Formats: sequence, structure tokens, C-alpha cells
Amino acid sequence: MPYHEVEETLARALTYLRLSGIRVTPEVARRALRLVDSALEEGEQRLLARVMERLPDTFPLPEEALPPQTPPLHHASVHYADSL
Amino acid sequence: MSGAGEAESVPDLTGRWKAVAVMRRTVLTLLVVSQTLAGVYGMLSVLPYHGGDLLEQSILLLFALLFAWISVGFWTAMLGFYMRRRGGDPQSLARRHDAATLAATPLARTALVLPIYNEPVDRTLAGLRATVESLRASGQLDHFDFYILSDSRDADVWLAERAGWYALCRELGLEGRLFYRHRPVNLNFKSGNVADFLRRWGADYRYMVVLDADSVMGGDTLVRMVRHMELAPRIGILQSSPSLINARSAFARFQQFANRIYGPLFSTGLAALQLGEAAYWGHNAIIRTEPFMAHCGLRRLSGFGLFKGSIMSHDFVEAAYMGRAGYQVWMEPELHESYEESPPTLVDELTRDRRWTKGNMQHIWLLFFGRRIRFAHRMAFINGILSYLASPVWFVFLVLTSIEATRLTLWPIDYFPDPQNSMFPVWPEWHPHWAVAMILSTFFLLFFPKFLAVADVLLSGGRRQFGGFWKLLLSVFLELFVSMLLAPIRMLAHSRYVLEALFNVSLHWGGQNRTDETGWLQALISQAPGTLLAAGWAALALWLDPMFFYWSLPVALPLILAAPTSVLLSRVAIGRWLRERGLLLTPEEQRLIPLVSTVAEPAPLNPTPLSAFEVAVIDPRLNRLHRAQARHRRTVEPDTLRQWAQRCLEQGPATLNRFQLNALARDADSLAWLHRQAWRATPDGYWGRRIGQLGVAVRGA
Repeated sequence: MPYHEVEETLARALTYLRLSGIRVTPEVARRALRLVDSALEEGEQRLLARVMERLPDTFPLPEEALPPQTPPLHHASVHYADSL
Repeated sequence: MSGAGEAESVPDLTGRWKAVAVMRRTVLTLLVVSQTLAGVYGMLSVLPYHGGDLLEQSILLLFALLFAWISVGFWTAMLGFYMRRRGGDPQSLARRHDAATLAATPLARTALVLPIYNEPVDRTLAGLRATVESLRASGQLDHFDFYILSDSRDADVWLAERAGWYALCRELGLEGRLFYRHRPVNLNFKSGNVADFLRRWGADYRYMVVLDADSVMGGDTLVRMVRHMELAPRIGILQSSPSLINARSAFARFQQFANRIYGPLFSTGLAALQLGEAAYWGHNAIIRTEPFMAHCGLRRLSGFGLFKGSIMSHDFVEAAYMGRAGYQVWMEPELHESYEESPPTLVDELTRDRRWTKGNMQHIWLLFFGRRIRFAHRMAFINGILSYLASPVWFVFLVLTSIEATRLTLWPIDYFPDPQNSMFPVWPEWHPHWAVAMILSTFFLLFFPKFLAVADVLLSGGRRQFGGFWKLLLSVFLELFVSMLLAPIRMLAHSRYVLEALFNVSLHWGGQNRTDETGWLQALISQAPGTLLAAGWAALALWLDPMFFYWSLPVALPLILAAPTSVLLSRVAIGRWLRERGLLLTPEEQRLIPLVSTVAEPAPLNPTPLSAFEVAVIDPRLNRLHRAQARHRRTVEPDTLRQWAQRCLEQGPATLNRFQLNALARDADSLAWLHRQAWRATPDGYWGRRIGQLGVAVRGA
């Protein structure tokens, strides 16, 4: 398997973690490496897909509370005059 | 709600304004009528047959209309100058309460609503951020909530808006106070968007402040507006007078300078005439929500053609309805820190004017068929209608004067123009000195208020804010020159728009876009009809009589030069060149005002090269956000959605049309599926390359 595929898989995983709000420390990088390594041991086919599938199990991704997009509805009417 | 009776039950402690308004309007009418009569008398002397035939009578009629129109502007400016020199209008709201009373007035819950429709997201949200920060600095932020009300139709725009809203919530700590509503169907344009907000949440707020996409308002000003409303329960709408800011192109700089130097005079004069029966301009205004909801719902027009369907220019009508319900509408020029932006180019301005012309022409129906609308608000309709109708009137006036000149040159003199009274011949007379006097008096009415505005600045000690005396003077002459160049171009364009509106058709003769600068080809095509018409007219004038040719030049030459004028004025480099030389400066450019400077160059909310849709697919946090806000009700079959998602995955979003992209962006399952598949895509595929670009941007950040 070409080396660059492994490199790209690791880079992809680290990018995903960064975008998810996880700070990539040496410890995080080592865990990511181990994840790629274990996926490689199972074969070279679909390496990227396998790593990305397992990423959420290896790194619990932070789920920030989302702000309410709108407040609770408080229905009222807009009145229209009988004439213009 | 009981309508007028409900407003009448609130004590009016300031009823004197009505008598003052009647007095001022009567004086204005007398001045305008007498000045117009004098003008018509002068014109009678100029015309060779002294109004003795139908052609000359038509010329006289049109002249009277135009002369009265500019006379109204002239006396409005005179009144504004007088009021400003005496320290402000004693009847204005600003003079009604002292600072201590205002400061002691508790605030009430107020919603700031920002209706938007496919606007530049970075600039729009930068303006909102600046307004929020200013309110925070005022210490009164807790009384305000904020609503972004989007009618945007492109997924790339509304996804960017929602991502921007999310970022803004986190940045400003406004979770649960700053909201984002995206209407799936944009019924009844902007007024429908605001009505949608009112039906859902209007009952939660005593006031709403309506902003435009380019609005910025100071916190202290907003707080002051709420307090004025609290102190005067009969006021339904309080309108501020926005100043233009952040102009970059030469065109926008000229508009900004004119607005900043002449604007105060005209707005003070207008406010002094309108008092509690002012107009609402649709934004930078505070509205009492309960009466607005009770009385300002806009019925569809029931006429024909243009006069059938939704009301496009809603603001004047809403002010009229508020007045009809017994509430007052005030415009207060002394509410500072209220800003908006100018269209960057002539093309953009005319594109906007095309919409506004239609909207104002629709008011003809309300003028005649609107019931119980106050006289002052009917006059506001007339004011809006004439703002555009004056152009075709001027155009026809030019046509008729050309026919008159042609007749005098080519046809034999008619000594008996009136067949009913043909006993005595009528000798045509020419009085060139009268014609010169008429031209000079017209110029005086048009331009004297501008110099009065300069005098007002000088007397107020504000010349340094405009770059000093000489640069201010040079700027005024430059502005005069450019406004004379633009006037015939606007006249011709507005004439076309009025025709389009009245006949409810669209007469396209050139492409228009909203780029930052106008291209030569685009300008040449769009201005070609005017240029050809003017060239033909000037040639005819030259052939008829060299003197008539010289008279035609002030109108013909700007039309012939319309394309280069449009292109050069759109140039940002020329705008910068003027600023660097201290020309067309405004006070906001001279001193650093954080409220203004933070929106001048807004930081991009999405600094990556990816589109908002691509970011929504790739970014895990934003993908989760968009999924959480997705609609549960599907309008497209799941199999169809899956086919579109598959195509999007394989070939990218550019292969889908707007409807398909919107459908995918609104569907949580599609977004989740695309997210999962995109991250598993090979690095050399479409999404693999996009993730690589995003990775570079993230690492760089």
C-alpha cells in the first residue's frame, strides 16, 4: 500500500478531530496513529473508510449545546382593515 | 382592539403640534403656489405665443408641475435651515423631554428585527454585531432580543446566514437572545416577513426596531428611541434619519457626501412640516407592535395590472394606517448614530429605483381608494409618486419644447393660433432675457439650498469635519457637477420605470448585475438607448438652430456620456483617490467611530475557499447544526433525494440546481449521509479535495 495513503488517512482523521473541536495534542495524535495502525492490520482495502467509521468510538466527539434557533411560539394575529 | 378609539384613550399631552403643522403647511402651500404662479407668468412671457395654443398650454402645465415640485424642495430646505439655526424645532420630540427625564424612564422589551433576502452575509451580520456591541456598551442590552428574518432562496446564502448566526451567538454570548428564522415561502416580500415574525413572537415585545441589511444603529440611540416611545404612548412609529457610511466607489462617495451635507437641512425641514404625521421609511425605525399588528396588516390591492396584488412599498402605507388608527408617526433628525449604506454604483441605484418606482406608483391606488387616510399621509404618497413621476413629466416637457423650437424654425409663423378669436393677429415675440431669467431662477431653486447647507455647516463650526473650508467648497462643486451629469440619466431611467410600472410591463434593453464595479460593455449596452436618443436630439437641435443646440447640451451631453460616467463613478480606485485628497469627506470618516469602522471591512465568517453548502456537508459542527434545524416535513420523495445526494457526492453540488440544493440542505438525513460519505471519499475525488482545502485552512487558523 502506498505510504501516502496512510499519511492521508491520518491527516484526514486529525482534520476531522480539529473541526469537531478536539485539540490535537501529542496524546490525541498517538491515539489517532494507533487507530490507523489497527485499521491497517485488518487489511489495506477501505482503510480511510474504516478509520473514519471508528473515529467517533475512539474519540468521543464533543456535542456542544446548540442555541435555540427561534424562541417558543406565541401566536398572535395581524389584523387587516375592512378596506384599503 | 378598537382602532382609533384605543389611541384616543391615551392622553395626548402634546396636541399643539397639530395646530403648528397646519400653520406651517399653509404657509408652505402659499409660498409654493405664489412662487409657481410667478414662474408660470415668467414662462408665459418666454413662450412666443404666450400660451396661445395647445402646445404652449401643455408646456405651461408641465412647467407649473415641475416648478411647484422644485419649489416644495426649496422651501423645505429653507425651513430646515431656519430650524437648525435656531437650535432645532421646538415642536420636535428631541425638545420634548430633558435628559434627566429620558434617563429615568424604564425600558420595555424590544425586538430588533433584521429582514434579509440574499444579502452579503458578512456585511449584514457585521452590522448586527456592531449594533449589539453598542447596545452592550450602553448597559441596556438585556432589554433587547434580536431576530434575523431570512427570506433568502439560495442554499449557499441561507446556510451561510445560519452558520453566521451560530458563530455570532457564541461570540456575543447571545444564545437564546439572538434568533434566526428562515421562511420556507417568502410570501408578500419584506412586509410579509415582518408580519410572519409578528404572528409568531410579536406579542412578546412592546416594540420592534426594523433594520435593513446594511443598517447600523448606536445603542444609546436605540435606548433613547424606546424611552421616547415609553413617554409618548400615542406614537406608533418613530423614524430616525439614517446617514450614509462606508462608501468606497466614487458614486457611493458622492451620494454619501450629499446625504451628509444636504441631508440634515432637508430632513429637518421635512420633519418640521410633517411633525406627528411623518412617513416610515421601512428601516432604522421603532414601531409599537400592538397597534401595528392591530391596524397595519396590508390587504392585497384589488384593482387591475399594477394595482392588483401585494403592496410592494409597504412602509408609507403602514405609516398611513398607523395614522388612520389615531397613532402618530414621527421622524426625528436629531436621533444620531443611525446609519445605512449607498448603492455602490449607478447601476445598483437604478436597479433599486426600478423596484421603488413600481412600489410608489402602486400608491396611486391608495391615494384615491384608501379610506380615512389622513391628508398628510396622502401628501406623503404624492411626494413618493412625484419623486419618480417628475422624470417623465420633465421628459415630455423637453419633447414639447423641442417641438416648439422645431415649429418656430420650420413652419410658417401662425398669426392666428386661436381660431375662435381670429380678428386680430398674434405676433410671436421672443424675450431671450426672460428665458435667461427663468433658467437662473430654476437653478437658484435647485442649487441655493445646497449652498445654504454649506452655510449651515460653516455656521455650526463643522467645516473641519468635511476636510476644511476649501476642500468642502471644492467637494460641493464636484458634487454639483456630478449631480448635473446624473440627473438626465436618472430622468430617462425613471421615465422608463414609470412606464413599465403603469403599464405593468418590463422593458429590458440591457443586462444589469450587482457587481462591485460596472464594466464597459455592460454600461455601453445599458446606456445605449439614452445615448442614441440624446445624440439624435442634439443633432436635430443643431440642424434647427445653433442656439437651441446650446440649450439642449445640459441634458444631451450627460446622456451621451452616460456610459463612461457610469463606469468611472463605479470605480473604487477613484473613490479612494478622492478620499486621499481630502475630497467628499464626511464626519464619520474624519474621526474613528467604532460602530462604523467595524463594519467597513468585515472579517469573512467563512474564511475557506469552500461554499457554505460544502462547509455544511464537511464541517462536523455545522453539519450537526444544520441537521438539528432541518425540517421534518419532506417535500421531495426519499428516493429522489438520495439520487440527488448521490450525484452531489460524485460530481459536487454545482451539478444540482437551486431547488435540488435547497431540498438537500433542508433534509437532515441527506446532510448526515453526505457528511459521512464525504469524509470517506478518496483524496483525489471532489469531496476529498474539498476536505484537503478545508484542512489547510483549519491548520492555518
